[in-house]
Amino acid sequence: MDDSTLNFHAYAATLQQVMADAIQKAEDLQAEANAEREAMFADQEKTRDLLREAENTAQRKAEGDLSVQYGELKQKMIASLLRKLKAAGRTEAEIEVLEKALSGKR
Amino acid sequence: MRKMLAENAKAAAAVVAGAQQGRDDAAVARIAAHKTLLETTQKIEALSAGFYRKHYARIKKDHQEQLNRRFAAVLLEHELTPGEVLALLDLPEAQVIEISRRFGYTAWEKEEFEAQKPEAMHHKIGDSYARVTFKDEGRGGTATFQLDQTVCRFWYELAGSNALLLIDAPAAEKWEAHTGIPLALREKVLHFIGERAVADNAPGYRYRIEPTTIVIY
Repeated sequence: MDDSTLNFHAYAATLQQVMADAIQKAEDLQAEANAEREAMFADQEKTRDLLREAENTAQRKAEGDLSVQYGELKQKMIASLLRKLKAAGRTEAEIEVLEKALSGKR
Repeated sequence: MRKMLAENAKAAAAVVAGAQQGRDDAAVARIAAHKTLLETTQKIEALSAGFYRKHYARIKKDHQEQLNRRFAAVLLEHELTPGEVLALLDLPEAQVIEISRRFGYTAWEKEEFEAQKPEAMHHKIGDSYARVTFKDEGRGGTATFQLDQTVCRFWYELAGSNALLLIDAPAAEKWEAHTGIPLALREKVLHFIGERAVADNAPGYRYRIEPTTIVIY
């Protein structure tokens, strides 16, 4: 083997090694990037779960509270309506009939 | 050869740099996601309170609308007019119209009537509504026409073989005295009654207007 052949082999080996090292490094970095993304997805999922749970709890509480207050709300709206009917000139007898009907007492 | 080695090293460095950039971007995104999680955790009580207020307001509004719709039906059932219902309840006009249709009301062009008889529109704030109801009393009955506050009744009876029903229509010269409705609206009111009589009680039949009768045939 002469010197030029020796140099060519060394050259080829250097090229391959440099690129192999680079690819290995890139693969390591890609693995780290994947781990970062997994961690990001996990945090995003936790955030969504937290918000979903908070919203569901708040909605259930609002439904429960308003369910309890429904009767009171209905009575207030009926009272307001009866005041308007009286102001519009309806007689006491008419208002009494309407109050029963609006309350569902007929 | 040295030049090629340099170019090869440059290409290898670019591969690493691209991967490094991808890793750095992913790290930045992960840090941002974690920061959002921490902030959300810290603010969860305030966020929950906001969710509660939002749902409470929405559900309360739904309940109010549901109750107002029920009240509208009760008031219409007790002979209040759609115009009165509209003035009394916090309901969009379209909903009042929709509920009123269940009680036989149809929107009426208000300008025509309002211009000639403004006192009759005293309680009205929206469009006018008209309806016809029929009350059977044996072989005849009463057709009641209602236009806002104005109510007038027309006797009807079952006809012989050539027709189904005859509804009395006051002659033109007696119209205003009998109905309180301007004579100019007589034709329109009679057609309205005829149309409703066919649509509500005699599908498949027709009607025609004669000098003192609406004939359903």
